[in-house]
Amino acid sequence: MLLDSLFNGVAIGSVLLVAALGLAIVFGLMGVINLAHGELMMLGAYTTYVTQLIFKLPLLKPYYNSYVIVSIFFAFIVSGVVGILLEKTVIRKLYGSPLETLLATWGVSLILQQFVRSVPLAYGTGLVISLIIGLFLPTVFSPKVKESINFKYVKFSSWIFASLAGVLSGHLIASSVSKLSRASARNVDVTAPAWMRGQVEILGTAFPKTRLMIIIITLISVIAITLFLNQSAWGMRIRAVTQNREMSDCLGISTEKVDVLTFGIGSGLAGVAGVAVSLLGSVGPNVGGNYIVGCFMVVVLGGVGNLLGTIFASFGIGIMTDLIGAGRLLSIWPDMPLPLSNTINFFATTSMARVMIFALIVIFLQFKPTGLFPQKGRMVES
Amino acid sequence: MYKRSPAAGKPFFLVGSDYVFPRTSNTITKEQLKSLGGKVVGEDYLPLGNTEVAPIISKIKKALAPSGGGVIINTLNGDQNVAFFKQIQDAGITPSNGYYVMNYSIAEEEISTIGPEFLEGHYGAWNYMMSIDTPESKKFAADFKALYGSDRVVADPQESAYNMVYLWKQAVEEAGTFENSAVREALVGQTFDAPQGPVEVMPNHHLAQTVRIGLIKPEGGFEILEETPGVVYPQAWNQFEPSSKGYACDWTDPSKGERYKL
Repeated sequence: MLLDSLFNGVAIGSVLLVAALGLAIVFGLMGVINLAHGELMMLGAYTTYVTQLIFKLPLLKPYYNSYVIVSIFFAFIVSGVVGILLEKTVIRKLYGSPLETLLATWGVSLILQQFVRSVPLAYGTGLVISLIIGLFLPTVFSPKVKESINFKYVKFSSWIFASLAGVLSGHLIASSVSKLSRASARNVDVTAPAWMRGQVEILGTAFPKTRLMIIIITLISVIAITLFLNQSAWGMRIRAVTQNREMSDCLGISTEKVDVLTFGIGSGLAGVAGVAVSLLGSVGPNVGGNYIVGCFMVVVLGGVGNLLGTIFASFGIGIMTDLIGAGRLLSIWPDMPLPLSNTINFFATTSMARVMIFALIVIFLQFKPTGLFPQKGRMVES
Repeated sequence: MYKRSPAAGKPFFLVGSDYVFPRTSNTITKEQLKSLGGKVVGEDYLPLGNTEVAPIISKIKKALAPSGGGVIINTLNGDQNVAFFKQIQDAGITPSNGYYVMNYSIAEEEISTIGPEFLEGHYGAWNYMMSIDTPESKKFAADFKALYGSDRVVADPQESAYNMVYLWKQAVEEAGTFENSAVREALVGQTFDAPQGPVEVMPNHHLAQTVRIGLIKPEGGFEILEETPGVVYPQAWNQFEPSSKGYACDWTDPSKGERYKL
């Protein structure tokens, strides 16, 4: 009973956490209010759908059971690349002006929503493939080639190659998977392979497998991103730029590269969240909008700029949602005084539990406006 | 029909999206069950757009598990159904464990979108089902496939839209004009041999239709279990719910109108 409740709370919390993790990096570390974060999740969810259909082709059919694992990597790359493009074209020009960023990214979110409605997914995939090749092909050349004056021609020709590859692969997908060749505004569905459906029994309690899978995805993402930020050289550079941009610049850290990398990783994590979300419900243009408020809520409650806070906040909200929404307090303490039990019963519906959670967060932020774990030390901006 | 259905004696749980239709529909369901001797053990509503059904699932389990399962009346909307059915199956709320979901908004189209592997063994209620075994119904389904593709399915909403056009055409022909109020008057009493069987427009501007209950098959579509012997006459005001009991609607008589006492 208690185990059941704890598991439910952790399951709800891990969906929130995996969705908010990328935002914790983009908003928390870079200070960019990215309203298109939900749409980057949506792209991840659609990537799962496309991967699923491609794995149904005769050639890949034997490996169908592993498509979810593969799609996690694909989704990370797809959302990451779209995020990098977004940073290079829109957000870079708007650093230091949060209101303009907010409006611009909201606009981008509308464009992305309409994009998946009006462009056949096969050609969308082709476009993403050409973006990936176009952005990464120039980086593989040796430094000698890069420094030569003719490098811009190399870049130009690699973009031509990339667009050719994109058009060809888009056409290939469209001709082999008829479902992807038509544009559609209707929601689509990801069906988890048979080994991921149903329940698994641990310690006499049955747990849904998809929920366990999402918890595992979340756990791996959190561990990977913590290791990356704390152990790798680039992670150290990211933290340095977060703490003091000018000083890092003076010491020879390319802040431009750091920005692209941070934003790319944050967006990529949104893609991973998209895979997790696609296992729970259906995939549609509006899927991101359903999660964006929750993401910001978690990051703000946890304390901006702090991954640990985000983790605590999401599990806290998850456990509270289950405790209030499922009316668990009554079964833990069955003979509580009548007025109290009536109040708890009143809030024990999904809609009212949400109201209650929001109210509690508002009250909490009145007393601790900087969240659970406020960033310590001196930020240059403050 | 309730007495001999397998649902008789089982506890009911009502689930819907949080807006006016599911709440009204469930208010009526509760009153109707009360008069039939059924027992409602819980209800919950999911805010529109929300796909986190974990708290609802634990409530369903808590309410229905002691009696070894029960009936869930589902009035969720659109894509929330996908989240609901994916997650209840994972939680073990399945027909093989004694839980049956009755759906009012899952037709053939939704079954193929959500995936019959999630819906197999649950139920649906409609006027038209693609598996109706009459020449009219078969011709309708075949014509639809010929027009939109052989992999498509046709369902009750499409059939209704199809019927409406013909009923309107007959009313226009009888009125001899396109003028709205003349057509509206001519519409009452129109009959049409629809793919589902004969339908008739009643004075309260609703249709008298046949009602069917179907079991969702593993390959998609319904197996029709039960069919009303004739058309069911529409009631604009529910006769179980106390606040609307004893009222009716008749647009053909100016003294009666939208709501009059019987």
